[in-house]
Amino acid sequence: MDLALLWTIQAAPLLAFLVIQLLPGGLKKAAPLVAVGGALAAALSSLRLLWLHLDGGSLPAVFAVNWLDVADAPLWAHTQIPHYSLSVGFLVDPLNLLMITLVTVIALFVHVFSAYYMADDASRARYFGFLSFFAFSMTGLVLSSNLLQTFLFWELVGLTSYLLIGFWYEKKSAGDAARKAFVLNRLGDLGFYLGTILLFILFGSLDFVDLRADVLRQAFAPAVLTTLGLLVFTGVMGKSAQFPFHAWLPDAMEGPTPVSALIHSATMVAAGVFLLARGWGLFSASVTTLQVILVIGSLTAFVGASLATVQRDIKKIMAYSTVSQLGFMVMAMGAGAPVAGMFHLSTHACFKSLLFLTAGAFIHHFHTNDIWEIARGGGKKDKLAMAVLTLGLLSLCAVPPFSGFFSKDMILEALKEHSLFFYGVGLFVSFLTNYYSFRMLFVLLFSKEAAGRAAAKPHAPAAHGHDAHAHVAHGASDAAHAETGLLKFCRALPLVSLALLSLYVGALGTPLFHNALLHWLGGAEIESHLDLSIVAVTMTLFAAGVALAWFQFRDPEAAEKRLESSANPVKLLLDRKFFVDDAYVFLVKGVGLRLAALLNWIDKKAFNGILVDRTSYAILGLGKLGSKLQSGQLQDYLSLAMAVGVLILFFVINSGGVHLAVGG
Amino acid sequence: MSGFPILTSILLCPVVGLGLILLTPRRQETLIKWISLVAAAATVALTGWLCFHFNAADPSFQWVENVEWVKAYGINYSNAVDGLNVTMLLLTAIVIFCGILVSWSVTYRVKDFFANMLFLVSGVFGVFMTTNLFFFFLFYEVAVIPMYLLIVIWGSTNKQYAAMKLTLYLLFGSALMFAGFLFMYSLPEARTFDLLAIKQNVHFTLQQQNVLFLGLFLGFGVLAACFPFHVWSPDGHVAAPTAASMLHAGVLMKLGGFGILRVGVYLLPDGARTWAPLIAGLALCNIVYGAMVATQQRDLKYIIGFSSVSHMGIVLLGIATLSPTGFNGAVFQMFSHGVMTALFFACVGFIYDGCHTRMLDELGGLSKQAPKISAFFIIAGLCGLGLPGMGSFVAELLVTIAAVSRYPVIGAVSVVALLVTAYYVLTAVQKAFYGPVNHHHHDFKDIGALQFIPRAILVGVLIYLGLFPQVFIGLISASTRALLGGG
Repeated sequence: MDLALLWTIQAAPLLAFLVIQLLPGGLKKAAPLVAVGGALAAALSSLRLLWLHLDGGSLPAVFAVNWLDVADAPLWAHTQIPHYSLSVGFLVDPLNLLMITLVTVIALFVHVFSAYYMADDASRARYFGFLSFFAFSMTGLVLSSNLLQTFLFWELVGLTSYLLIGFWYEKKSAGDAARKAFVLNRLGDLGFYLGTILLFILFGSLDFVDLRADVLRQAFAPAVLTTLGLLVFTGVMGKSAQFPFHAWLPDAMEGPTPVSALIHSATMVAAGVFLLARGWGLFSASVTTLQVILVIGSLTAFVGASLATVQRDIKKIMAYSTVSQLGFMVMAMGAGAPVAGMFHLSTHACFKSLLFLTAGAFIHHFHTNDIWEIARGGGKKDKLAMAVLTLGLLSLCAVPPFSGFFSKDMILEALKEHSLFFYGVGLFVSFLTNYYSFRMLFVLLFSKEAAGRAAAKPHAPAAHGHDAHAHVAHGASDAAHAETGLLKFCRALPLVSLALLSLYVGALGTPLFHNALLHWLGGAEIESHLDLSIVAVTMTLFAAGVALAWFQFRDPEAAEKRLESSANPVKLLLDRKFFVDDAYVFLVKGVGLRLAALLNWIDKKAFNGILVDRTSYAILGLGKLGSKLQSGQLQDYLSLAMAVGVLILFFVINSGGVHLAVGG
Repeated sequence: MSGFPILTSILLCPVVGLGLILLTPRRQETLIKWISLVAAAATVALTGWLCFHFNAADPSFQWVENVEWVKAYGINYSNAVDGLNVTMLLLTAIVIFCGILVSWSVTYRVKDFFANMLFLVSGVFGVFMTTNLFFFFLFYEVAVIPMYLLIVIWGSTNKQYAAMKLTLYLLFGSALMFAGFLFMYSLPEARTFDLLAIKQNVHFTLQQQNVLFLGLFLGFGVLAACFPFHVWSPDGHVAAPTAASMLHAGVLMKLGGFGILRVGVYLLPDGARTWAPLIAGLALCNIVYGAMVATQQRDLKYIIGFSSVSHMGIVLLGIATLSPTGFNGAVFQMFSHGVMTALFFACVGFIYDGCHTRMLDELGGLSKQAPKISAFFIIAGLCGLGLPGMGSFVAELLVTIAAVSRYPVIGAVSVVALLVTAYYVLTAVQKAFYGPVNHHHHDFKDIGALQFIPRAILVGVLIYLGLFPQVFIGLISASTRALLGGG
């Protein structure tokens, strides 16, 4: 039964992808239906699987088969390992089950929402094909039983992310963003790849069930464990957009908004955090690794949150917010609290996908990403969107009793126990989170509606409001499209469901539900006791953040003018995104491509020029020299013959002389 | 194993096809194409059958055919297969079959074109199946000459220069290799060109092994485009017509790697041990240097040409590890790179025919115009950048595992190429296929059903290799292990 369900989860989206590819031209309209069908089958199967294993019995279960024999006799292994091969398979344990349920359920809602969002796009079939392929790769990643298989699907989700970021590929910015995402992920993955290979060579197994901290500590020196852990962690940094790899995620917002909701906030970018929990044995085996993870996580949380405070693009705000929250999760891991990290991952997945879909609803309707523009267009009149947006933001700001509160509280508690400094960082980031959330909310709420869309700012600054959607998907025409009942349903259902879900998932980690989620993940020893001092501090910070945002943005128009005119070093630093992008541009263009150009020049001049062409000219020259000897002139031949004769005579006498001298 | 001489039959398919084409009147172009296609299809069927009935567990030579030819000099017409060359035969058959289909659009001197193609492929089949060094050389020369003609007559872009350069390089390589063969023959215990007899009878001293292996390595290295002897390969691939590029980059280059394994490592294991670090170093240059130079190219075919240089480095690196895993990876890479690069050239050739340019700056927006051919190219590119689920990933994985354990630094640095490759492949994809449609080629049409088939076959093979690598590894691993004398 398990295996059949697992296969359904894995294969249904793949099947949907294949069917969509094979649909004949006339039937391409059915693509959304096929994709939603695949997602539904996967989601139902995961729920069923979760239900079957809710008591936690017979877990973990592994179903693995041999995939590739590496060598029957490994030359490098001093001890004979009986079964030295790479396997593929499914692993089922509480962690996987939680993640797979999250992934498939959110994927289902995003598929449904996409049916609304992409209704007018000509390339709808391609979109739903990619989306199904993403669902396939992501479920594969989650269900994988070993590190290499994870890497395999890890790259495949990276590919779908690439394809979907570049979905509107006619736009250069979309193509650039897609390439940047892939290459930066690749950079991180090099470490992951090497780490996996080293682990395989040294340890002989990549199965998650074998990666236990105590076993690893016995087998290797701490330095080796740190190296292995950090190498694999670079993969996490790439995928989960940790500093300094985070630069791809905000650019990834070039993709359609439902894609951002699913891939670039809820599931794929969280895969790194999931991997930290999945390979916890490997990471926790070295204290140094955890320390580095903690530092990187806090840097990321800070950088993301601070950059979110200056964005105008609604998706960029949420993207940086995602970066920051991912940093939070990674911090939890670094502080040695994987359960807290996974708990936050779960709540974040729900409320952030909700926020993104809300943003999508705005963008789809107002054809702009700029929050001021949306506000001027009358964004606050969309009651449903505003309600779920507020709910999502409160959750993001960790206000009780919204879901983010419980998970963030747990992380802060772990940080407080670990070190006061990082606790301080966590609190500061929370403050920034409150500030940027309410900045966005206040701009949307307090802006005065402009008389008409035409009156809206004629010169939308290129840096922010990129009407991706408006231009490409809908053409220049601004005609309001008639929304049919079905489309309205496709829009409302995911929003409402995710809103409810995000409330419910948070509650699962409270005594109200007997800490069900935490027990499920980490066994019985975890008790979430509400540390009132932390709650007091966070509530104070919440009040401060809201107050600051209100003070600055109660009049959005004035704030907009003020922001455009002001100039100071902090603003410059934030505008230039801490110069991370500039550093990458320098590394690629200034160093990498220059080196490549130099090598190219060497190839042309030295190898082709001197070694090949010059040699051939030299040989030609030699031939010409030789041909001169055969001039046909008798006197030339005669003089040559005489010269040679003299030379021969000279050598004969000379050698004879030597001979005589020796003989005598 | 006596009985039906299947290897000779494989060889005879293109030879008979060639004969029939020569007898066919020049204006019967469709008939000529069909003859070539049937001959190629027959080789696919026969090599496929051979792979199925080949005993993979047995590392020794099978389906041995031996006919004395010049007894006094130990020159026998002898063929045999083991895991190593049975896969190469299959690769050749697949690539020639797809190459013929891709060449369906050839209109200029059709008879000569297909005659040359079949002549060329007879030589390639011969090299892969023979176990006699004399015939090895002979068949090799048979393959080089038609290649020259194919480039000079049907080629493009500086074709005279490129064809001459390619031919001289390949002849230079083969001269070195033949000198090595003659030296082996000249040893008193040998007096034969028979590979197995030499292996059994001759005990080379370490010094002989060192000298001989170096010579053979240089000779074969030229064929495999080993750094710094790679310069012929990008030029040659660019100038050659589509099917010739497919065959050349796909199959003929693999002869270098195959020769190093079959002759160099098999006969001279100690020489191989001496020079392995050097080979690893050169291979690293291939891998990283090729990828770096590829980032600078503006011509799609040059990008593929340099990516081939980079990917052949992986073959060499696998060989340099002198371990079964590395050998498996090297052979896997030969196969998957052969298929991948054939797909690459099949796509670029089509684009060039339609757009009359291969320059990245003059292309653009092809995905919109011609989604199918674009998808094929992108798939080839993804395979090239080592995406899991395709052949190259498995090959690179095996080679990297072997390389990291044998040469940790070289192995670790070679991985950098994965990043550079991703960069240039995606840049090329973005420039050629994304963005707005370029006015240079507004009338470009996507591929039809006939042209869809060969490319789909190649993609299918790549994905199959990537998903079920054990099938392939199972075929070769007994033989690769036997190469170093292991049981």
